Amino acid sequence: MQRDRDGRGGGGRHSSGITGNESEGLFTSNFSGNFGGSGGGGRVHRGASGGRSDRRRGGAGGSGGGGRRVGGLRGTSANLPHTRTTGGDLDGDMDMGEKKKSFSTGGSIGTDSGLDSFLNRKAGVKLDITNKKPSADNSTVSFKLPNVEQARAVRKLNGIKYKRYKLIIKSTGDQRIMEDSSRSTVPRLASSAGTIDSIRTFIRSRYQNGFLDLENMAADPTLRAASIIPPGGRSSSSQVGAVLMKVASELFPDITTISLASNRLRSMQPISSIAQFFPKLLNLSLKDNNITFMKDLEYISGPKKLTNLRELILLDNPIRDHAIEKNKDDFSYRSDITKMFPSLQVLDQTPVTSSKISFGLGDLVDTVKDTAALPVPIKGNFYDSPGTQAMVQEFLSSFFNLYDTNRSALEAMYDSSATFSYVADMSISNLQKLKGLRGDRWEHYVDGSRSLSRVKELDERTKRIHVGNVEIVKRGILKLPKTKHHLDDASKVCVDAWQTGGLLPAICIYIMVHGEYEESNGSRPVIKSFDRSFIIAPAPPNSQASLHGWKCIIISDQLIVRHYNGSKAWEPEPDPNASTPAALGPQTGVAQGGPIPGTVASGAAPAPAVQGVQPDPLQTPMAGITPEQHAMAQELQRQTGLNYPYAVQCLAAVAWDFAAGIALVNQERANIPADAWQPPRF
Amino acid sequence: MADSLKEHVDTSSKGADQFVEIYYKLFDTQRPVLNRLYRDSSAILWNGNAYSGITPFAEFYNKLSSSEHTVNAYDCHPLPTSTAPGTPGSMILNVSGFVKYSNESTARHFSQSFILSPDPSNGSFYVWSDCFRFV
Repeated sequence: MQRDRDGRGGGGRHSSGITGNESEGLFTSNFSGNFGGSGGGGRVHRGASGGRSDRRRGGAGGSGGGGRRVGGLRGTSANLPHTRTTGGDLDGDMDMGEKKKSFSTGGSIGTDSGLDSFLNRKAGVKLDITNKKPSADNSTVSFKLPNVEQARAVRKLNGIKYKRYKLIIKSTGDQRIMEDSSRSTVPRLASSAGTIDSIRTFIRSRYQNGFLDLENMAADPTLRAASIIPPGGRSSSSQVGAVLMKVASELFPDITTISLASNRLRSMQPISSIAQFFPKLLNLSLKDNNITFMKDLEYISGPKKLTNLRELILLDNPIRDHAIEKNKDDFSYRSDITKMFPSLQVLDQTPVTSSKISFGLGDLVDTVKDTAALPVPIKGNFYDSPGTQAMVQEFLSSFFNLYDTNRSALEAMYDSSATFSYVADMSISNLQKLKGLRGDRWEHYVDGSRSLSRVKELDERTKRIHVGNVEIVKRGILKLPKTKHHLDDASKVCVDAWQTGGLLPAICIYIMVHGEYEESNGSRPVIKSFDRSFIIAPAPPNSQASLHGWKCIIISDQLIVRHYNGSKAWEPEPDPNASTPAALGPQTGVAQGGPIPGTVASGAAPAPAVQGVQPDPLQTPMAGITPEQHAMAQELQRQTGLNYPYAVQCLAAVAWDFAAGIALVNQERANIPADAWQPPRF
Repeated sequence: MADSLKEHVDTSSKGADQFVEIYYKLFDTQRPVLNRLYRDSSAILWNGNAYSGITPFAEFYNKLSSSEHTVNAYDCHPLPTSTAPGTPGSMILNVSGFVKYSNESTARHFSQSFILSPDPSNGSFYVWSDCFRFV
């Protein structure tokens, strides 16, 4: 992976251009090739200069009105001072809104009656002054103006002499107003038709073969001559970006590549209309701007914006530089950006590669029928076999007992690669609101809560999942409030559990528990509801868990905590169909369970392996095998979880040597296809 | 190891984001398309009612009133399944939210827990198991 790792300041930066192994595709011709003249060749070098803040351009350098843009720095020594735009600035952030201005003088300006007309005369535009407020000592007066143009006009008057005063004029107050670019109508520039002509000329000069090069607009002679301040510049009109985009899309609808490099852009808001006018845009360069936070990009990302974007360049922006500095690599940065722009194939001139999960869905349309009631009754605890039930009940009672009384001891119960995380779901349903629930305090949960709907950035998502028994205890469960679970009341718990067949290397049990606990922190105990999933595996012989007398170790533990909501929701309903249908196959499911015993099983001998899947007692013996072989196949099923046809096949392959069959399954486990396993038998 | 944890988290959590977005949208508006997310081997439990495979489950959901789901929170863990390096492995995904059925006046809380796994034939992920409860 090629990285632009050049240090800042001093010394030339070496070329970060195309090398032989660079990714194929458009970026070579659209970006690297276009900068620096001779097609496909090397990149333009950055001029020697100090840190970022010095890289402001001098004059237009050698580029004429219609010439090729030279990428990167001008390398001029006349570095203009760079001032960052701050919140109070007017840079294209204003759409409509009110600007506050204030005057300060030594005199009694507050009550001066001629001030308004004086300002109107001098400003050159009609001023709609409202909310005039003199200060207590009358030396200052503040007022509001409705738009950027008037504000700018008044601000220009700073220092002007009025009667015996010298007026000091400042902007005050927050001037940011969000602009919803998806609803923008035709933008208007409060200027003459000449402006539009200049913009047209400018756009024409920057266009070539589907590529619109809007790099470093501040230095462009056409714009300067027309006094048009481009987006990203101080005091630029809020609409200039939209006008540029609109004009460009009208003149050249075939634009697929746009460069906005070196425009001092911080937020994408000034050019957010790019998504509206170029929905099919393929390549975008934002190189060398001031983009600092993910939210700065939000104006151009999202479901209806730039959904075809294939290539994006964010090199030389704080958002990238800071992330790399913090993490020493760009993995998280790239992950976050590709998440915002899922169509991306190349980011910062490096191909986007990541293992992605896909669901193979096509397009299909159909309707949903509407019917009268929940079609089946709610049933209680579910276990796929009595064996599962016994194992699960024992596990849950040991686990929660220790969880309530001695969490450190659980270190032996988690696997060394186990995963644990928790989520605080603080939502309140309408029904709960009706019942008067105001909302608990969640401060002990919030910092580590891993709700992926809220926690979006990869670094946080990684930080909030705990891996390994030591970390899980130390940084996971020990940090959560003390609890008291009451598992002895069966009605307050609901458990669903079954064996996982061939999903994991060992036969595990998947458990989902719903219940409640009392949080015993502080004065008044609070009850919370929870949903907790576990995946448990047989404890290896001689493991710490075995020595404690536990049969199982925990592979995965995921907890969701919610406001208390009682246990009515899983209360079994009477079954309107008295007889259970045979259509679902042999009934090995056990649909009830008693209260979970409250005692810990301690001192027991190391456990036998978790029971394999129950083979079907009604299984028709395969043709051509003896009854003994049939029984052997079913025993192999029980111990390994293979389905019947594969169990037979396996044993046939080892000439019906049972031990060899077991060995073969364990040896070849990774190569055994998914359909060879017995699915959980309900 | 830390790097591959980040990679596992990256792949699995993005898969989870995608799945949660698709699943409930389909369930609410185009239920039959859900079939592509399940297999005949999927283990589905709906409030204690067991369905072995997509066919019996489809029979069930065709009788279920039309729904509107609101997802409040979800979380996922990558699982230590054996897949070739670089290919995503299975994961467990838990969801908490509200569901309102058109024939009922108030929404219910639900808790749903999925195990998602890659189909060996084409790598697409499908629902290996699905456990749904009102809570």
